[in-house]
Amino acid sequence: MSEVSQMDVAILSRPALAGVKTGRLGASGAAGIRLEALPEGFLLHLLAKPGDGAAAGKAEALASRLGTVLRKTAPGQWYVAGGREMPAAEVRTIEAELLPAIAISDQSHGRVRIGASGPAVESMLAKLMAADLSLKAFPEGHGTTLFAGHVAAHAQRFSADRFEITILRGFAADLWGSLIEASLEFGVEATGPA
Amino acid sequence: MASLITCPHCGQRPKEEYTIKGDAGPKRPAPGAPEREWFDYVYQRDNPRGTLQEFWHHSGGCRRWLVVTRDTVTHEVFSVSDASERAAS
Repeated sequence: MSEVSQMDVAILSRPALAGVKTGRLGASGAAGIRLEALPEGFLLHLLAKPGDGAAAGKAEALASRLGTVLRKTAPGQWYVAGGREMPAAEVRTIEAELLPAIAISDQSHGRVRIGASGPAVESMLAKLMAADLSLKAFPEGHGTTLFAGHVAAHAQRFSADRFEITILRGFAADLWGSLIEASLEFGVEATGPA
Repeated sequence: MASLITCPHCGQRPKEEYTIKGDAGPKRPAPGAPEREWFDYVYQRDNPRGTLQEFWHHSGGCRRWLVVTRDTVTHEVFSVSDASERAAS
């Protein structure tokens, strides 16, 4: 029997959304929804003590330094995410800067982001999410954790007609299917991972 | 069962987003308390008709423990607060 060492096994990076349904689907005419599998770059979960204003300021500073926004998930907790890959050394440097006010959980491999946009995006997401998605209750820059169907996810609003949904990697393909199904009546243009 | 709970952090959400632990009334006895007290704390629960305070976990949202005061007959929800506020008071 031949010995299999770790060196013999090629570890391949496979996008969580590889092989999902893409293209122009559903109602004809101008697409009401655009879905896109966003690059699986970095995603850090920041955890601080709820109500710690200094920690919130540090988190805000980190997000702007990384050229992104803070996505609030819970009191004292945020995601920061971006499309580029972040080397482990950089994560450790950031962690060293933020401790002890903020702890970091690197979720880059654990959660993926899906962009949902278009004039019908509110109506489409409302089929899956039981939160008030109107611009008044859910303004630009607002983010929250909520159920998308039967799965816990995070939704962040970037503009009147654009959201990003963050979901655990293993549920991503399932959520993608639900999003497509909910979008069919509006017509959808879906772009899979690059 | 009350079907819409207004989380102090997330806003109004359906009950499916929450996990209910149960009565928030029992107070944990001291570690060395007699077995009788521990038995009551672990197993004995009232089943009141009317107002009840319960621990609810917003497991599908912010994942904070909440205290929900609701009516077991009319399903009316009187208040929802973060459990940490209760512990502090």
